[in-house]
Amino acid sequence: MSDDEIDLEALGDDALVEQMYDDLYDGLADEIALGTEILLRRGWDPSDVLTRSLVEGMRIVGIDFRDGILFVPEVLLAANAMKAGMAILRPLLAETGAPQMGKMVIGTVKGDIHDIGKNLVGMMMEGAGFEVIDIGVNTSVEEYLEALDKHQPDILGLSALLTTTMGYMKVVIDTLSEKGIRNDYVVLVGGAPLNEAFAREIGADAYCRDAGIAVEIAKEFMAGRQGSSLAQSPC
Amino acid sequence: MDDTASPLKRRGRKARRQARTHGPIIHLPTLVRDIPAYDLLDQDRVYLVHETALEIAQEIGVEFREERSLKLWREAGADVKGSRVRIPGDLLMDLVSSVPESFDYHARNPERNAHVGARHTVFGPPYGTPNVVDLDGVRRKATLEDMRTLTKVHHAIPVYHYTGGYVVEPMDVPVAHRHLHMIQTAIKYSDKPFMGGVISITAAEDSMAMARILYGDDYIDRHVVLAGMFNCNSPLVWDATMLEAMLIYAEHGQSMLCSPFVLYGASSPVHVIGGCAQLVVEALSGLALTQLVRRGAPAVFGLAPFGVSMKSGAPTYGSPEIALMMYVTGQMARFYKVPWRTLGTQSGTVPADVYAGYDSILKLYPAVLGGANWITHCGGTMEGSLAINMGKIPLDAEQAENLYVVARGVDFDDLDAVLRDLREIGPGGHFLGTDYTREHMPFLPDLQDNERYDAWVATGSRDAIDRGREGFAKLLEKYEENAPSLDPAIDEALTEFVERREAEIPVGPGG
Repeated sequence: MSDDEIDLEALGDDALVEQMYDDLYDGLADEIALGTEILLRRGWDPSDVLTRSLVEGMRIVGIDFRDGILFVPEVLLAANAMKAGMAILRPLLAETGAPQMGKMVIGTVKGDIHDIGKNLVGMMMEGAGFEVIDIGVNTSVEEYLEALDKHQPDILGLSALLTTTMGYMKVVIDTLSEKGIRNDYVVLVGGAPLNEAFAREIGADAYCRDAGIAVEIAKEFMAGRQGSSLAQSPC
Repeated sequence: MDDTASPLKRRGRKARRQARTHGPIIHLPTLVRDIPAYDLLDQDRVYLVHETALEIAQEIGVEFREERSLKLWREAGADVKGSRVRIPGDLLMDLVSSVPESFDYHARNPERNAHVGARHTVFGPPYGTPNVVDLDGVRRKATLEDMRTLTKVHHAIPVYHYTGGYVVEPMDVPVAHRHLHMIQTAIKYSDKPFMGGVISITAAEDSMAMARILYGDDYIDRHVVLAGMFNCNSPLVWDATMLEAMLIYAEHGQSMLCSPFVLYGASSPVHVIGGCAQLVVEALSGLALTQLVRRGAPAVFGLAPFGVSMKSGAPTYGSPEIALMMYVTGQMARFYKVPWRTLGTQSGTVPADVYAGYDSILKLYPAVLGGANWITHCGGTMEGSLAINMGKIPLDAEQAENLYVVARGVDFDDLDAVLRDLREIGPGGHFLGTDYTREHMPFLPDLQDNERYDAWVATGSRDAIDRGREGFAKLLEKYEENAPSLDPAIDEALTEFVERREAEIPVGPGG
């Protein structure tokens, strides 16, 4: 079958899904949008389109990224293509009240404006089907609390690049404990100076050493949470 | 319908995995340097070095301990007393002036042809050690099998522009026969240009004969297909062994790396400039001799420089004086308009450890910045050239590739495109997701590992040599998937030649 002449409409469901895995891998946003539309037209549940086609395709991307076959810019391209599909699905998912993969609020802590890592995590998490609310950099406890209250996420992500700012993560987590809401959220932490030991010390749920691992860990935690699509239908 | 406005192509995962794990061997073309060579001296001081060299050549002279060479010098008008040749400046400069500034170094596959001289630089594999440290970390004598394995790996290494020469000293083959196997191995397992045998007249003549089998008589009369490494015994002695072979290479118009072997403080004065003046005489006198045999023969100003440990007398690598010598030598070679050669990633240590890394880069960087046209030994040489660490070869080769990229200089194309990206991304943004970044990903050695501590532990706490050994095995695999084929008639003819000569050449008393 010649490369650029594939007629998605002519493919059966299984073949179309397989082709979408490849199109995601190649970062082809328009083709993914088209594939998404076709599946929906064929009566697929938006939630199934999300998990069986897009999220699964990004999981494959994640594997090859971990194995050093794909590089960061290529993963970002794939995530972009995924977003093209998500743009179509999101309103439908909201309508049907389908269980979400999960929602995360993420921000770089106060005193720290580094965000490349945080942005990569955000993109990978979106690529995995999570809804990500990125509240930016130099984030104070108050701002985190406000975002948690407003968005009611499943996951709170804290990022820091500096050894001088990572301590603030403990401030945030302690505040959640004081307010009795620590256990409402899965708290994931990451950033160059962090490690497992630190994450344990400050009472985070997990340390994520890179964006790929963050997605895996997030999924693991979500599988244990009620009401998430991962808890209901492993894919 | 399918919107083909997208500029990206469909390739799919399978194709990408295949391309990135089982792709073809990448053969980097000869480096064309687009960075200036580092000129340490101003013109006046260049002349001072030059004049000092002429003084040495005229007043002290150079030993040429071989009859034919002496005859050639005598006939040319040099002052020859015994084996001491005092060379008038005019004569020396006249002869050096006919050394080509650059030349083509031909391979049996024209796509692998290399070019040496002026802005062109070739990088090459390790050479000449009697021991190897194998992939299990065992240090043992080198064998013919090692020579074959290494040649395959060298073929698969992108930055090596040639193979062959004494890849290792195969200790399981009689000395007198080694050159036969060396050339056969180079021809059979690689289609890159290769080096020839130099340790005797027989070795040189057989090298020519085997090159003729491969290329045909006509071809090698008009093309450079071989290179030989000839060392001058500093201070100021060209010995019979080297000269006898060098004269044969010169006759056949094949390239000669005329290389003073300088042990700083032992065989040269502990004085960078004094040492350079001395080695200029050594190299130029060798170059000049080649021109007496055949004007226009491709000769290269070689330099094999080493420090000396004053604690033990052992050679040291990575010494600062050696870097300085390389810069000055490069500058002198450019002054004389001849190509120059020196050493790459060698180490004087036993273990392939941090110090081996220091040694290696402290030799490679000045070679590249000094504008060397031919950099030998870019892989794995340890213990003062007594062993090759196989796992270090791919690591060193990647560093040579790193400097290859440095030496290609900077690019002013696409400046508008990246500024557009910057405008779009704005302050605080990032470039990781742009098309431009994706299409121009920077050089990343496969064997580099910048994992964070936890990830490094999780993936087995491997160090560089562990990864280098894996890299070696992968290169071998890549070779097997992409081995160049050799005309069976030539293969057979070479085998017959080797077998016949092994029967004819007596094995000396030392084996």
